[in-house]
Amino acid sequence: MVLTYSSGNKRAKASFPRLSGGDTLAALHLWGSTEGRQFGMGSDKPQSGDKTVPKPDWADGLKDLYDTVVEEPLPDSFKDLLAKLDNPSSDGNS
Amino acid sequence: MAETKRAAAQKLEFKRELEAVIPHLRAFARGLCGRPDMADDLVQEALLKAWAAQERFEPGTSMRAWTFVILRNAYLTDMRRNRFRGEYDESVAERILTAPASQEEPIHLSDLHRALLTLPPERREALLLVGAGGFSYEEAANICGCAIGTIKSRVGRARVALTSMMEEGSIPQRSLDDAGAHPAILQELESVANKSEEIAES
Repeated sequence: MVLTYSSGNKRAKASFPRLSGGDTLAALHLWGSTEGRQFGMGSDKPQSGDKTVPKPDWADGLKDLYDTVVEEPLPDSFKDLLAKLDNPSSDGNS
Repeated sequence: MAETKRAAAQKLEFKRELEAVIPHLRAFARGLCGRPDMADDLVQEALLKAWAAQERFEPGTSMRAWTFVILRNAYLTDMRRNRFRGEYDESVAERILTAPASQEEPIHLSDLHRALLTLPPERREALLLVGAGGFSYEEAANICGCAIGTIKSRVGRARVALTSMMEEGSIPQRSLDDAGAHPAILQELESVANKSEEIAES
């Protein structure tokens, strides 16, 4: 069975390298500000200003989860609902 | 008569804006409750409520933020009625959330989503709003009706939890079927819904 649910999805092309190794830990350090400290990498100092803080890889994934849904075509049920708003047949539009 | 016309124009504009935020409502709802069909039901409910309450929307303000509040309230109400109990469907989530093949080892979005669903609801929604929806801490605080510091704390805790889950691969297989996790989630939600959310997590 071939599932091509998110075909045509612009964001879906993004890849998510698995979290592993020192790069990630360093990134966590920077991104997580105070919380990052508990990951205990000695080599990188956490930066407290969160202006250009690198994010862990899953952060992009989170955005992608969201954007994947945003970019899905709207199911017909929503079009039906919107159409119903214009001509409320039975309910409270006194 | 001019007034009627203006009202009609406003109504039209309201509807146009409402329609424009539907994809965002769907994305937020999917993140909150996991199952796509349930999420869409929730969005439909929120849309109807928003439509009914349109007089209360201030033109020029953020329709997305306004409707997110409505969606969130609908979600909390439904959660309290246990509508989403045990509804997380892994096979559906897997199909929908797994990113198409990529070159490198992928983080499966389904893993991430599952991890997300194990977070306490208030942290999950804070992370969704800020980390996925792109709201500022202040906007997120307004949506959740709590202090900015509370949102920051929730987002921070959610990040730490997700990071450790993703890193250790310690993501529960089926979060909501987990005998231990689920009652805890519901219990936590109950307290969120019933009590004030102003209390910053220490």
